[in-house]
Amino acid sequence: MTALAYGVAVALLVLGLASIVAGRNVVKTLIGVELASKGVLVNFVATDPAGSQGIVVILIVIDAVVVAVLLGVAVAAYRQYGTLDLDALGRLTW
Amino acid sequence: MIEQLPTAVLGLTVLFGLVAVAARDFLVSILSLSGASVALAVYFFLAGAPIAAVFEAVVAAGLITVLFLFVISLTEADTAERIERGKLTVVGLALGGLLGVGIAVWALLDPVASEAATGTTFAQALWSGRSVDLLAVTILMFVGVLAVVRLTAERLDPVTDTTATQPGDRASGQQEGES
Repeated sequence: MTALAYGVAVALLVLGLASIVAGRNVVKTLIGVELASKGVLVNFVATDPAGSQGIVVILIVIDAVVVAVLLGVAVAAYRQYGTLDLDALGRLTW
Repeated sequence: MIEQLPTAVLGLTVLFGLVAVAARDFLVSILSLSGASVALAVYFFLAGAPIAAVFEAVVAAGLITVLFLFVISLTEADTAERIERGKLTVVGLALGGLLGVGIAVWALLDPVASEAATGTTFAQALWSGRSVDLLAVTILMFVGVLAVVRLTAERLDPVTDTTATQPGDRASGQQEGES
């Protein structure tokens, strides 16, 4: 059971990283961030369900704050440039 | 049946995650992300972390989904129109899902003793063991609220902005015309 949970954690992390690297849109990239953080949470809970609740709750709240700020950045970028396409927006993508 | 439930729920989480990454439609991928959060919350509960499950269901499946929908309705015009038309359906599905998860958790919950014990140990662990973390999270939330307000705010006084820029534009236009 625990091995399966670890496998799911790695799968979610890889899915999130793939979405961050290959995503063409800011919203898709942020969905990747969310999925990667979910993978980390699964890892914590699979290791020690009762003992890790405190850190898991704190991580969920931090994740919500981070995503809220990044979505604010996305809205500000949309107002500035009129698009959320990363190819049109950024010089950091490849 | 109950033994197979965590496996099924974990598989459902990965499936929803795949749909969230692969779907072309933003509405589909956001709702899949919400579904992955709900499935993950059920897994947390089954693994023995009920308070983390409640936080995952409320914050990740509720708040973050609403934030994503809000940003999509601000930026993508055609998706925003579909959200507007399908609003009742989406809200009904979301509320129904949350209600279903709540009823399932309530039905599966072991009565009284285990819940009270988990609650007190969790509170002790959180307030005595992680007080520095709690302080840091409080500051982070405050900074995050300030950042969101600063980033998404419109200009404070658009009237003065336009009057400040327009005369200069007109003057330069006139000068160009004259020259």
